[in-house]
Amino acid sequence: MNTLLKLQTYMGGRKALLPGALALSAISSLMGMLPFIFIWLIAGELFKSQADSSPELINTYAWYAMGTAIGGVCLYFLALMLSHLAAFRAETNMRRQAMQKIVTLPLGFFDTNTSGRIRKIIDDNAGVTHTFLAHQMPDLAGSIMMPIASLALIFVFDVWLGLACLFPIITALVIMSSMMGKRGRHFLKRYMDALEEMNTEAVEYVRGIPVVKVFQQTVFSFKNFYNSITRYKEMVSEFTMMWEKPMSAYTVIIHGFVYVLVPVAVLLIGNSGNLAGVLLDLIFFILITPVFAQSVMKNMYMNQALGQATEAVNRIETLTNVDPLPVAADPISVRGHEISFFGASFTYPGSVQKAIDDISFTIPPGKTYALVGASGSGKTTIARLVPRFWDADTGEVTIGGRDVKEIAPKELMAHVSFVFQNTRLFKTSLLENIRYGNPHAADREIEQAVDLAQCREIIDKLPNGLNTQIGTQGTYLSGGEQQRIALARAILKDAPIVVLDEATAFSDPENEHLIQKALGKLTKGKTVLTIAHRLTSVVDVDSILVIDKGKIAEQGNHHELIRRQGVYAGMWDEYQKSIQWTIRKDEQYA
Amino acid sequence: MLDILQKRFALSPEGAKAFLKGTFFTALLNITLMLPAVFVFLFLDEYLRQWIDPSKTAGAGMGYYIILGLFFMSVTWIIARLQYRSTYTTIYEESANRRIQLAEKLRKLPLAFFGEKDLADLTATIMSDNTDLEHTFSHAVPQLFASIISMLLIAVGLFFFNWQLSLALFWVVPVAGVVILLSKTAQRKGHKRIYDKRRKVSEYIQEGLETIQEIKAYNHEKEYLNQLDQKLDNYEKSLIREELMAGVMVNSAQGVLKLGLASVIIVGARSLSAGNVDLFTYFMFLIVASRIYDPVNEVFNNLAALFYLDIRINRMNELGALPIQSGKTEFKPEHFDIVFDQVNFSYEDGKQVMNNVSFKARQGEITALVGPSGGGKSTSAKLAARFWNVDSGKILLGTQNINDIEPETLLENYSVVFQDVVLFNTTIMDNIRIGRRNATDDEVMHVAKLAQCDEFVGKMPNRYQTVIGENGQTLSGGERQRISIARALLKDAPIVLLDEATASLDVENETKIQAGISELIKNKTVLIIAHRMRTVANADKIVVLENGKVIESGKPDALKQQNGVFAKMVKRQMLAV
Repeated sequence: MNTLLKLQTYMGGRKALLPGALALSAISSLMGMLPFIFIWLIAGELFKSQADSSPELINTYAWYAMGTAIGGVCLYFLALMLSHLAAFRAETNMRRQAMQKIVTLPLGFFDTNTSGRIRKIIDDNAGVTHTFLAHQMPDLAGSIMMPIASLALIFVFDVWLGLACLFPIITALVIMSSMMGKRGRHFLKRYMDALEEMNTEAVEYVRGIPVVKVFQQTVFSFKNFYNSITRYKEMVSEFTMMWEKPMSAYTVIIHGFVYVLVPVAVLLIGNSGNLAGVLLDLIFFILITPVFAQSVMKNMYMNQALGQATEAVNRIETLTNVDPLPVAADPISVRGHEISFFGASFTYPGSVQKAIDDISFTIPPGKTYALVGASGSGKTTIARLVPRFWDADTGEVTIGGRDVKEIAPKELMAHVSFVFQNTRLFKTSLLENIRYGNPHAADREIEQAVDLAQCREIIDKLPNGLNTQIGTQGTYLSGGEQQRIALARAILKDAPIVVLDEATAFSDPENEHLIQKALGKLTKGKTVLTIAHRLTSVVDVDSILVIDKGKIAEQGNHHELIRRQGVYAGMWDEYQKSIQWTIRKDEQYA
Repeated sequence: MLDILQKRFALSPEGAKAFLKGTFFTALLNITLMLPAVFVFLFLDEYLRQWIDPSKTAGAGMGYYIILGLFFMSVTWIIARLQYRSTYTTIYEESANRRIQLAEKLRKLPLAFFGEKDLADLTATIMSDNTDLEHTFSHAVPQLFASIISMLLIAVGLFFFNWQLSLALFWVVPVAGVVILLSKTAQRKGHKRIYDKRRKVSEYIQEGLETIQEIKAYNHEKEYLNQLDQKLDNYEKSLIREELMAGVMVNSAQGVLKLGLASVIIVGARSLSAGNVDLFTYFMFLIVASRIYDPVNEVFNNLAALFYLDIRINRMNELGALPIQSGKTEFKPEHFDIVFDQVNFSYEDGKQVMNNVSFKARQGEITALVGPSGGGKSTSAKLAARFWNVDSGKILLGTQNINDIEPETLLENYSVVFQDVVLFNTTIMDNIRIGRRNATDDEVMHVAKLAQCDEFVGKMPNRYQTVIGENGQTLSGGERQRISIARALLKDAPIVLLDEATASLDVENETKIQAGISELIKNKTVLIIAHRMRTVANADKIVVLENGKVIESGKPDALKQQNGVFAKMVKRQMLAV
């Protein structure tokens, strides 16, 4: 019920359609019984003596029977249409709302959740609710009509035959609920787990094939996959074996109404002597009981569908159950371009160790500061606190003296450009991609950004120039080229503050050279915080922050730090060694 | 017969037999489910005739019908169990076989396949296809064939009984069948349209997630969501349209079946008043009509599964048709020189990647492949280990053509350190031990130290026993590379294929890793994909590849003096540092 309520909130304006579908389905299942009543009426005519029976009446009943039969099908069709409209809306809205939530999350969220995983959760689970909403719900309503109808049968037609009917119905329901009950639910969970395990193993196996082949271990990794396949098979087989008897009994019973009805009829005939009356009712019961069988059958998978829908809703809600980036109630605007950290500390969710601990420094407007340090030292974390990938746990990060948390996110984004690793382009034209930087830019400004970012040569090479679509029809840019286009976009944005990760993907020397040039243009005259990887590039910056274990170990410009003979000086030595290394066969290393 | 079944449904020989058996028992069960009608027939034969002609007296009493009923129920019980066993249980055996076959096939594919195609995706699809097929083959396919068979048998029997009423009873079945068949093409097209639109939505969601940094940096949330809305609306619209169509078709077919009962009523009533049919026959046909269509309805309910059966089977056959590599499993080369002899190669799109490439990488020497990206460096390195087969020309290891050697046997001679490092969801120790299965813990720790893994492993909660998650997602790029180098060191094969970028990715630990690499390449045949010209200044040989052709080769110093492409690249990089 809980799942249904949750799903209803996803249906929006189509919420009312589902009850409508249920009602129509119920009416349709009642209507499906009417033809049998007309047959009963016809039989009644036929049992009359030749003189009393009316062929016209029989004919009329026959047409009514046909009409109601078709009417029942049509109503059921309508019911399904309504339930589908509701189910489709729920499905698309689950995707829509998940994405609406996703874009409000802090960017740090995407560090721990890969895009593929998020997409799979949203995409796969949204569709899973379909069977439950579109098919099972209306069928359930139809089946609920069954006990009502059978009660009616008992009292309107023949009490004894009606009671006789109840016997197989109740037995069938008992068998069904024993299968669908606790044992069934328990199985469903095991089944889903085994299936998921097998699919995970499959992906892991395929991903691992290149490695294990290189190291001659396919048989070993094959084993895990093989075992998961066998486990799944054994589990499902065991379960189907377990169901063999109840299922077969169920088949016998729902097709076995006559075996109860006929002896009872024989008894009734013997007792009452009313041969025609009993036969008439008997024929009616014999004809209508298969309808019960059908409607019970339709609900076989109800529990499974409900279980899957519940699981699907939960998975999506768990994924997006993260607090969005907090927005100040009364946001303020950016006044200056100085960046300051005041005793900022931050611990990643799920971690116990502080990623950065009590960091304080100030970058005056227009100056360039560089962060250096080992990987895991916290320099990336520091850089990411400025555009609010995360918010500091304690302390403050300010821009122009104002806490970034107090600044409206849009305003903050407008003032800060960040160029981190894995910059991406959108699957649209190059022009659109660059225009993202400033939607109101004049053509001349775009051309200028293209030149500054060293992209002219890329664009000249393409047949459609700036109008070339990326990612479709086989136009792919190399990593280095994509990076330059992304830089053109950032240059066009012309934000006064630039936060950047200098590690450019290792591309060919030509590209690297151009990217460095473009970066130079982007940062000119800006307040810059850069994560440096190659120490040659920090020689000329205004100040270097050496980060070690989440704290600032040293600070100063290159020459000051060299003179100090501390951490930085050691790194510099090491660096000099590394750039002199060449690959050599007779290398002697300690 | 079995042959056709095997091909048509991608079944094993046992699977095909099991399928026939399942179909047989399902048909038998369908006929058995007519026993209630026979039962009623016997009863009415006695009592109705008694009503028509009261001079006859009823012979059998209630006891007779109870015993007969129990007998019929027992028969049904036996057949139902046989049917259940023959369809529901064997299907999982077959399915497991299919999955294992798939796994076997995958491991024989050329290695390069794993980089070029998203095989993981394809595998996931096929795995779920398999699950769907389990359902299709237990609930739909045998039922389809069985209901055709049983329907025909029953029809023939009833036609002898009374052909007019039989006609009234059965005309609806072929008509409903035709309606369904007619809708098949339309439904498939509809399915394709839905699939395409759905994929557009998925791709756009994926794009949004991948570009989330940019979307937020440029305040583009609203535009993105608006576009997503549009795509979702589009998707929903086509869902509704196709569902409406499919629904109309299936429901009209089911509606047509309902006409069967109605036409039996009408034709029967007419015949009855005309005196062509007696009351007994009429009632019998009514009773038959009330249950004869159930198996067909059951098939219609699983129609979608039947319609997409082909698509699923085709996907499976498609994977089955991919080329596999084989060769001899005994291989002891005389020496470890690698020779490229007029090698031509293209990936499947027909674009020539290697064009008449010839060069030699000698044992004990370092051969560096340089050139712009896309020039053919990586392809050369991969071809040298038979990740693909060459189109023409040959590659020799020692004196033998590597095309004649089974890939895994061939690879025993190679240590490969490339960019994409695959890690397994197990301990660091086991991840490194992949390099050599029987290595002791001490050996593993020794190479780990050489490859500078020690430093980051030391920070982990359980050190070398730390489990690193699916594909090692908890590790950074540099850490992954170091594990990859440790594996290669542990393997200690005579040939080393190395992508230099691997060594350079982890900028902070570069010097240390360089030491590990120097250790790795000692006295080996080394083929290195080089990015920094400075690194390869001391290589024994440089091969410059551009557009899939060797444009220069020789000793580094000689090439520098030639003032060609290599010399230009060296100069260019001096500027960049």
